[in-house]
Amino acid sequence: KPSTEPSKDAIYNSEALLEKLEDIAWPKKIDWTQKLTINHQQAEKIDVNDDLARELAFYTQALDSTRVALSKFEKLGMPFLRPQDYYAEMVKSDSHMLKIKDKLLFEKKKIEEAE
Amino acid sequence: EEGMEAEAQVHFRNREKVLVTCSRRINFRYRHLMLNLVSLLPHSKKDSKVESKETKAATLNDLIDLRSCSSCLFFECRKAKDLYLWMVKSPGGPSVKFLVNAVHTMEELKLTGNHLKGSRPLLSFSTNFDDSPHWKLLKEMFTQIFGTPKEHRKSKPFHDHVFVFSIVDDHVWFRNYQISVPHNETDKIDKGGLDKMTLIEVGPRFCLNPIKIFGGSFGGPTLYENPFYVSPNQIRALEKKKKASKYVTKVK
Repeated sequence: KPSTEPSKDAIYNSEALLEKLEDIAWPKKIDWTQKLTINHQQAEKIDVNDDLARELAFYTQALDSTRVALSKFEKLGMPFLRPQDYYAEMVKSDSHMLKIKDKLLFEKKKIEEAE
Repeated sequence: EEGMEAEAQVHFRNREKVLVTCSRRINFRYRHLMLNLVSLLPHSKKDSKVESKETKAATLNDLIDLRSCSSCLFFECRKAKDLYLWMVKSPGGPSVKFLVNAVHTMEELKLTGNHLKGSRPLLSFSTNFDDSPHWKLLKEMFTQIFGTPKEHRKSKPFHDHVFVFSIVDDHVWFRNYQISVPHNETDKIDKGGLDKMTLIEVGPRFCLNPIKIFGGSFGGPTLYENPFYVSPNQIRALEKKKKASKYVTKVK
């Protein structure tokens, strides 16, 4: 990695940035269900080069946020979980999921053989 | 008090439409990343590749207008290996140019999760997005562009995945997980279900390094410059120089 000395003449126009934010921002008083955003307080220091620690931090953020969101849905009395018998198109196709399954089975077999 | 709150809510309809497109000579992996995002954003419209370099801004702005979109994600590939992402609100701006790193597409078999196509994602942001004006602005843009509008005709009324936006080391990291909760009915989680909830990563993965923020749509005055940004070209040049100097000392 090259030196991380920050450039001294980099532009930072706070006023204009905040003005732009105001320009594009949605009305303040809209329903939470329009945005579905949740804020998560990160652990103090995340070592970006430690893959496991970093991914765990993201997983934790996702898990905590989802818990908060699902409790909100429950309180609002809104359905939010897909019923077991609800079938619709998924982002990954059946054939792609089959490949994933095959790979998992193959790896499981490899581990068993090694043991 | 709750009734008051409901009354105070203004009528609002989210009509966000995102144009997703890329430059010519984009490589296979980056093209897949773009297609992944198209599949995750039911409110997006994909357009064919954009050619000319000089008139890029004008061409793209015309295209956004023509497709009646309010924002744009433009993937620009250079030297067949460096990927830049423009995230733009149109027509009034702002626009952000990112360098994209650490790309993993949804096709990778180690990401085993899956979710409904068109279900609206939960959007999780790390709280450091609220620390400074440029991050605040980016948070608003991510919220508007990556969130699926409520009651969008292609959306599904269930929530089975979550997008993570997390700032670590001054970069924005993106993750997408499937939500898996043991349950019987749609509106009731089993007792203790929230504790038993697990997440399974669906992908894609990418990391965004903001380079500049501009006031307009694909241009305009510079409002922010990343003081730590070093272009991939500079990094490669430095590495080359290092190697060369190593050789010189060896010869001596």
